[in-house]
Amino acid sequence: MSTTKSLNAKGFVFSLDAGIAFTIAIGVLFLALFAMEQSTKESIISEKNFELWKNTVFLADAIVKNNSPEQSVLGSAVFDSEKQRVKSNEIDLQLLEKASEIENKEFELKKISLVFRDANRVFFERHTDKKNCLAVERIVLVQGKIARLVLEGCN
Amino acid sequence: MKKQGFVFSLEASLSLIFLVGILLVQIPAQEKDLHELAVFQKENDLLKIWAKQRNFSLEEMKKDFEFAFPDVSGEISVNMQRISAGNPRSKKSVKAIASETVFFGADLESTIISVSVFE
Repeated sequence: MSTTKSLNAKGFVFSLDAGIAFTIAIGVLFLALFAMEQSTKESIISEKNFELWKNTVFLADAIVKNNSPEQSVLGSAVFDSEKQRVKSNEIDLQLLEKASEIENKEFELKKISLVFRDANRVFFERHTDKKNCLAVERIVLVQGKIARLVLEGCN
Repeated sequence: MKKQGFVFSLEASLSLIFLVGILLVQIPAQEKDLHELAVFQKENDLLKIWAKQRNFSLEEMKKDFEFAFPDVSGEISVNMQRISAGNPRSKKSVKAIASETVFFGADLESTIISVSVFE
């Protein structure tokens, strides 16, 4: 008598399949949140990595295309005073020797070097605690000789 | 109906299929970098340097290519005359990054030069 009464009473009754469906729904929600968190973390790392690529590539481009006696890291190309123009991809060694660090909170210049066929020459090097580093190369002419300009930056 | 065992309703079955579907989905890793731009810039550097040196010997250009890109293979062409360059044992290439330019000499004769890097 009491069993019949309890079955007829209104209230929450969870069947086995409804319970499984609920558990699955919670599982899906958990996985979705976990995936979102992972995606956000990857996105932050990716953005930081892209920022490093951007700074290193653009700085290397500036060195080979500009002539900046005040800050040679921003331009060490030969300046042709007769034609009043910069000779891109031709490096002025005296200017590159003056290379010094640039101030940027999110980017640190680690090393600038020239790799010739038979020798290497380092123009700037500093120690950095930053682990995420990247080296970018450009091809230049130095006093008629072909060389690879290697610029390494970290963030 | 009195048989004992698991009985999945339509909703539960759909949920299960949905969960398995989500677990099977693999989000491809997105690589955001400027690697291709860096290679493209180096190719253009080579073209500029060859233009300055005015030496369009394929053998010399091959040496320059191998110096500029030590670990990859590629191709250089001068007026449709092609030569393979670089490390032939580099990893199997799936794409090529290529640059082409036209030089005009003193007599306005044109020289078409292209350089490709296989990646």
